[in-house]
Amino acid sequence: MTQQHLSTWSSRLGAAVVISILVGLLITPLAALALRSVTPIYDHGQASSQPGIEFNLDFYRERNQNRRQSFFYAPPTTAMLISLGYAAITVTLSLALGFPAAYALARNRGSLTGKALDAALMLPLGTSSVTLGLGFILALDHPPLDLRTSPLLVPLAHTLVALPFVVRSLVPALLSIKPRLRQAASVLGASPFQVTWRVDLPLVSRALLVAGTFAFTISLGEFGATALLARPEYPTIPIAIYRFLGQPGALNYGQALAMSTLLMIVCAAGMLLIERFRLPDTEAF
Amino acid sequence: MHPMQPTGLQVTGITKSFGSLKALRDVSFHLSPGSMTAVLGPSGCGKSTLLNIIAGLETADHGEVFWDDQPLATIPAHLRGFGLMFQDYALFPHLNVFENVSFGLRMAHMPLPAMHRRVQEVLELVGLRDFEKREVNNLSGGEAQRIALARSLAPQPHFLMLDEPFGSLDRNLRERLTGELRLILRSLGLTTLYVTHDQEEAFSLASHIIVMNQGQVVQMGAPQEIFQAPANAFVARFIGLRNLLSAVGFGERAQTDIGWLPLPYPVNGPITLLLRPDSMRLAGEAEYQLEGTLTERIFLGHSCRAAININGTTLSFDFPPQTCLPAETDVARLSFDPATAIQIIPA
Repeated sequence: MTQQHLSTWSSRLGAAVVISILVGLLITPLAALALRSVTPIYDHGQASSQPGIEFNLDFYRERNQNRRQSFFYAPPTTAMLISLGYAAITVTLSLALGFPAAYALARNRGSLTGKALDAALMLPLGTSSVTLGLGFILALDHPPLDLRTSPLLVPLAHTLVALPFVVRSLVPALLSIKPRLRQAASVLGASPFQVTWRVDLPLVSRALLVAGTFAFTISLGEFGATALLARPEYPTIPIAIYRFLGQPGALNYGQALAMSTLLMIVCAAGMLLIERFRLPDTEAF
Repeated sequence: MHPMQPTGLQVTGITKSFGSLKALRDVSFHLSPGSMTAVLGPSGCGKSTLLNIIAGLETADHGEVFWDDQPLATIPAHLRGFGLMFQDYALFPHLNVFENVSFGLRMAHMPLPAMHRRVQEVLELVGLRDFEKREVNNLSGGEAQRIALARSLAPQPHFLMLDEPFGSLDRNLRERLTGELRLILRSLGLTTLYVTHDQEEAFSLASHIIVMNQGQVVQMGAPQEIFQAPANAFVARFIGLRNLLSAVGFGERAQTDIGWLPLPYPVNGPITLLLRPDSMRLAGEAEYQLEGTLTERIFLGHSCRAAININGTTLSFDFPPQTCLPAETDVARLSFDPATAIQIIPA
């Protein structure tokens, strides 16, 4: 680490400008979203000219009312529950698949197999998730792998999107385990499975938590693949938001804002959790 | 499982290469049950690889390891029932002292009350009673070393290997712990293989020494044997013998850096000569004499060690204590008997 303190006035000013722009770009849209979601909209479709001063929670109260009798209407609370359920399955699946993958990567680092595996696991990052969703529809529509109607289809796609993040969180943690510890366990009578269970897993528990949180928030926010794969009666939060926005009327608009804000809060809580448990300098992200 | 007669550990023709590096070349030896043996050699001589192969953590390219005449090639490390203590202790950082020491017992599915008793027993053996609840990250180097020993002893292995167990400790602590370790291991009567690059440690612990260099066994025997008759110049230098001279033998005489020296028996070709430090007398008339300059005298209580420069080469000899008294002259005239003072070591 050769970080230097910013010593001259011009460099400090430059840093301040850059940070202000970044914060502005990051915070402004999110803050606007939250602010608008509690700002009343009048019948003529005009939002209150004094956002933040006039304040109500109408859009949050309206969450579960299907006023327009929409055909595939799913109440926002249902969407929330579906999202959470999918996220839970995604966390389980991506950790169950990601841990062995990361283990194999950590073991074969530098070898040709390792590099090929690494590239393959990073593939979902490089391809658009819409492409992934379309690929799912095309590939998984024949028995024995006809998953188009399976409730696992969406979490499976989320798992693939989350896998690079899960693997990238786990590999450095696994690499930091001294091989001597595994050898010591082995000589003390631990079978290879017990070595993994009693030494590797507990030692990467923090990284597992970080990886799980990544998977959780990615699943909650994933839109591209979900838009193609989700069944109309089982929308996730982002899909529900998109549908609300696709329908006319101030109420729909407001509800979309309210749901976005809720999604934002859940995701932010997850990210804060990651920051809380992240070990310094042990993750690739 | 076990044959009638325990025969200990037999290693035959172990060879191991890492790429083009030959880590072990045709290593064979036998450890009788209850014996304490030290493998002595410089770092990188293959001694740790040898331990890993015996423990089952690595596989040999050729050769076999037997325990009580049973070949171990097909038995994985966790079923061999050996103990191995590492140089860096390799204590599990996520477990406390009790959980570390009881790890092997848990793997053997020992019931909890028996486990507690056994942990207490071995902690007492290494002198760390009431350490069960301590976190291993808060242990001092010496404590961590004892906990590591307790952990490898807890499952009652029938064979214990120690890989430079004091390597990272300071000299004082190392000497004290070496003494304690000797007592503990003697009291258990455990077959032990001890790897070290420190000849003092090896000599003070083991009844049998295996000297290794560049992946090969160069000499085996009791410490006294090795000390008195080093197999070659490497062994002599490595065990810290002083006054070694490269020489070329011409029958009954040899040419060295300090001039021509008489040989106890005729030899031709390159050899190493050892001038025994305690075999010279100052002054006196004798058939054979060496003359040099006295450059340093160190009073050691029971003797006086003097450094003497002969033709540009400094040798050191031990004399009676009164030699250290101030002398009028720096010139030292040494008389000696070739039969006792000069030892021929194969180059």
